Amino acid sequence: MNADHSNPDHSNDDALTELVERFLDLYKKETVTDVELYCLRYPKYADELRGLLPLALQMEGLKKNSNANAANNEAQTVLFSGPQV
Amino acid sequence: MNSPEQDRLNYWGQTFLEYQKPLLKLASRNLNPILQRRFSPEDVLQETFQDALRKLDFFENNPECPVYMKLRKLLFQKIADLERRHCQTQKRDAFRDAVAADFGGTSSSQLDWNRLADSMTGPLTRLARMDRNDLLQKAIASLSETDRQILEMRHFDDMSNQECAEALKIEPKAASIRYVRALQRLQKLLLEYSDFTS
Repeated sequence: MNADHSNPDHSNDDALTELVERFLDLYKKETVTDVELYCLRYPKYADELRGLLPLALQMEGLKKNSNANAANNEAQTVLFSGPQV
Repeated sequence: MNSPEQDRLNYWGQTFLEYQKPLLKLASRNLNPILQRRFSPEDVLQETFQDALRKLDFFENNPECPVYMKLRKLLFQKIADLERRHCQTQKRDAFRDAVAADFGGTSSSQLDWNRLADSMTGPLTRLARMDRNDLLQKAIASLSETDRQILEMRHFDDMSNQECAEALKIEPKAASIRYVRALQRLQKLLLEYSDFTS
């Protein structure tokens, strides 16, 4: 995926979304693991990326902790109770 | 010719099968390893679908909630129910089965695993992590249902953007935008909480 950030038709939202998705994809493949290095490559979006990417990674960490917990399933049911049955 | 009730069951049976793949993945990831010696993820999903077919009103009411999220809820309830029945009431038997299979019957191996887990994280590290995670969980709980759903699917169900789009019946680009906006709102909430607590 090559985000063309010089394209005036490409809205900021779209570009930011694309950059977040790209980071997560690369992170999962372990191609990129450093948030700051990634942010430096996209100075226009760096501030927003610095806020969003660590949060996304923290969410992943929460999942790992949750999976490691023996009471994982019930905890998830309580935390993310979803629709009432 | 089928009766209306039979048509209704057939319709929902087909609909549920569309979500088989992500739900099977979810069941595999969340089914306790001890339970997996007694039930396969396929068994659990099959029972979940049977429960779902007995609760069609749940699927027909509140149609704005995605079918995937409703099935997911039933799946977690099924897993929790199995854990209650088989890991708590028969804890010793189930655990003995698992230990015997893993360690050739050496039940003292459990203590070694506990020691290893303790050595990986000191108490202060654990406390800091718990505080951070508590705050995050509180913020997630405050999000709208739509935001919470997409974050759960992406991060807890380990679904790709494409899989989320399919489950939510929306375009991949829309799913992606929905995800990043949910992250932005979560970030804003966390900033508000940290301002409040600092």
